[in-house]
This record gives sequence, structure tokens and C-alpha cells, in this order.
Amino acid sequence: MIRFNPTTPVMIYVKAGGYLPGVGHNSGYMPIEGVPIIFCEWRGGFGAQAISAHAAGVNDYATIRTFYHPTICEALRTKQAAIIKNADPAAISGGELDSKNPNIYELWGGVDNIAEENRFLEFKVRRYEGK
Amino acid sequence: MTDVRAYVQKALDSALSREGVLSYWQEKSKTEPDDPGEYIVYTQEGDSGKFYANNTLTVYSARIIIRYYYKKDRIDTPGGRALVKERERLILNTMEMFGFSCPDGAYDAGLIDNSGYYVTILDMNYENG
Repeated sequence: MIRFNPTTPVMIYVKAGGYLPGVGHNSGYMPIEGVPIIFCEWRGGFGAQAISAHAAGVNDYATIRTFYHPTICEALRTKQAAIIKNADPAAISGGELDSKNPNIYELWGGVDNIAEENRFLEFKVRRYEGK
Repeated sequence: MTDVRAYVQKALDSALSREGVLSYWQEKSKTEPDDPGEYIVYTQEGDSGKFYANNTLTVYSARIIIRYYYKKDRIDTPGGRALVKERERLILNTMEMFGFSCPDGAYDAGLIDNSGYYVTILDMNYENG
């Protein structure tokens, strides 16, 4: 039995695009439809793992564990996603991420459906520093 | 002064967006489907001054490169080859209607980067005052 304490609210935004004839392509980050704020266990990185991450250029990372949700799982696996810690409303405006906001993270590595039981999801995130 | 890139976007979309051929500035967007049958990318290669009046630049001459990408298996059938030629003609005629000129016409660039798409390039000029 996995024990975890989901106390951190997060929002997940995915990059979506549309095409307007005469104007061209338009894309931005949108919340996942039907998925409001979710609660997860947020475990920050420290120790030897943090030192190796720093060597790889990652200054801030965390491991997130949350309940399994097929829409979230599919979105994280197939789309470019931004994870907003503490559901910070100032992190995103007009579909654009504020790269200076410390509460924005992006997926780092794969998404694990723990033991394929469809009960819990685990994935790592790193601080979003803009593109 | 006209924003040439916006003008190119309008010109291409007026004829091609309803055929399902989308046009992008610089590169195809990653949020669109990965596997379209055909699409267009355009870039601006220059916008040099051409005519002056009273020490002020009044006319620019912009150069736009249009790259028409199509799946390489399209040329495996006569119908596919005819469609590609028809698209090239449509792009050329539309741009000429919007005031662009293409002195060298369309030319084939082959398979670029082994991406699975052949490319036709049109080098267009536009005088912009």
C-alpha cells in the first residue's frame, strides 16, 4: 500500500494551438478540460540527486505523486505541459507562462503509472525557465 | 508601410487554407498535427531599400521564400503529381495577384533533412512603399 500525503494544489496546463486563416497559427497554454486543481504530494530534490541534477543544469526539481487520472496521464505523455505549483493564478496570463514566476514547472522525464494499477501517478518536474 | 509577412500570410490563406494547406512563418508549429499531407513555410530573406525621396526611404524591396512541403509518396501516382503541380500554380497565381513577382518560377529542392517531405521553393519579390 503506497502511503502519500497529497497536500499541494497544482494546476496542469497543456500547450494547444489553433489556426486562423489570414492570421496564422496561434498557440498558448490552456488548462486541461474537466481537470481543475488537483492535489499531489510534492517532494523537492535535495542531497546527491540534487547535485547530479545541478550538474545537468537543473537548479530546482521535484517529484510529484498524485492520484491516477487518465486525462492527466494522457496529457502529460502526449503534450507539452506546464505544472503550476500552489495553483498560482499569477503564473499564466493570456495563455503565456511568466518565466520569472518560481511556481512554474515542466515535465522532466517520463510519467509512471505506478505498478500499472491506475491508482497513482508519479513524475518528476523541473523549474520552467522559458524557451 | 505594409507588414510583408502578414501580407504573405493573408495571401496564402486566402487561396489555400480552405484546401487544408496551412502556412507558417519560419517553421511549422509543433502543436499542429505532426503528419499533414502538405504545408507551407515562408521566410523573409531581405527587405532592402530601393527608392528614396527627400533623403527618406520610400520603397522597400522585400524578398520572400515560400517552401511548399508535400509528402514524398504524393509523386508516386499521376494524380498526386498533378495535384502538386496544381498547388504550385495556385501559390504562384495567388501571390502574383497580391502583387508579388516570381522571376524564376517554382523549383524543386528535393528531400530536405530526410523528413519524408519533398519541397518546392518559390523565390518571390515584393515592392513595399
